[in-house]
Amino acid sequence: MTIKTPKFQGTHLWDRLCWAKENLEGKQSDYRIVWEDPDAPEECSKITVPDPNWMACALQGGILPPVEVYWALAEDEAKPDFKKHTRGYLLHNTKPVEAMTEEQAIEYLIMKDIPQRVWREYQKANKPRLVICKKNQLPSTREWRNAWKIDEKIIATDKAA
Amino acid sequence: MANGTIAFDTLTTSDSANTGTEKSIDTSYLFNGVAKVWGVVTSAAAITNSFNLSTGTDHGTGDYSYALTTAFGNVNHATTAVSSGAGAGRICTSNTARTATGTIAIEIEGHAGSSSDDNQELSTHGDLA
Repeated sequence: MTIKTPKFQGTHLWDRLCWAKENLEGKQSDYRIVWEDPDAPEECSKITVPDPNWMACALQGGILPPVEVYWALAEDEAKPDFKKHTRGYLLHNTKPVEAMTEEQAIEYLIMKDIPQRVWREYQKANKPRLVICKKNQLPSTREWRNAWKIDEKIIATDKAA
Repeated sequence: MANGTIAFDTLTTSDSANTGTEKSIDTSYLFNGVAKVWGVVTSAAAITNSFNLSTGTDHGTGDYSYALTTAFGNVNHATTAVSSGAGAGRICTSNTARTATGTIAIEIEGHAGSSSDDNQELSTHGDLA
């Protein structure tokens, strides 16, 4: 049975997550985001994994704020005189985003949780630094984990276009 | 039957079963003391169960961060974490260089001080944005 999301605009985001935890089934995604930081090229690839409860919220719709809200808060936090957030209301009062597909949710997570320097000018990078793959495409053991790098022979669909 | 809502600012008990002295607590004290984030996570940063996380990131051996859905109001939030795999004697420390209002970061070390992968159980207290 499909459950209807209450009208959440103006409800504290944390309270919305409480509702989601009570009412939605978690969704374990098979997608993984593999990325490298252009500011630290000597470091190994990082692997970002979606949270199942967050993914359930994204698929349900009407719960999560637009990703631009997180960018606004990140801008505030990056200021040298930052002490605490004064625009937290953006999380709670901005109209929530509609239901996403799993693939759209992964794109949202890239823009929310991965540094902008990784994906902003992705097209201009001279080597692949962000790849979305399936869990079973990663090495099956963590041997030599700190030496993992994205294969430079990978040609991203967008870059090839 | 649909459940209703009880709204109150103060919780009071007569404590008649014990001291007989009435005790009160402001509701906001209860809310402030609740963990705002928790997670049970594998050594590959895959989240088994959680609340208020959006992603886990595996940065390399023993180096993890977790992004929050509802950020804290400031960076002074308090995380408690344990490594919970088969390995004994591992230590979890907070990686303050990577910590932000919307990020908690944990490093795990083994006996000899070298970085070590492990499952983790964590919770964080603090004031939400």
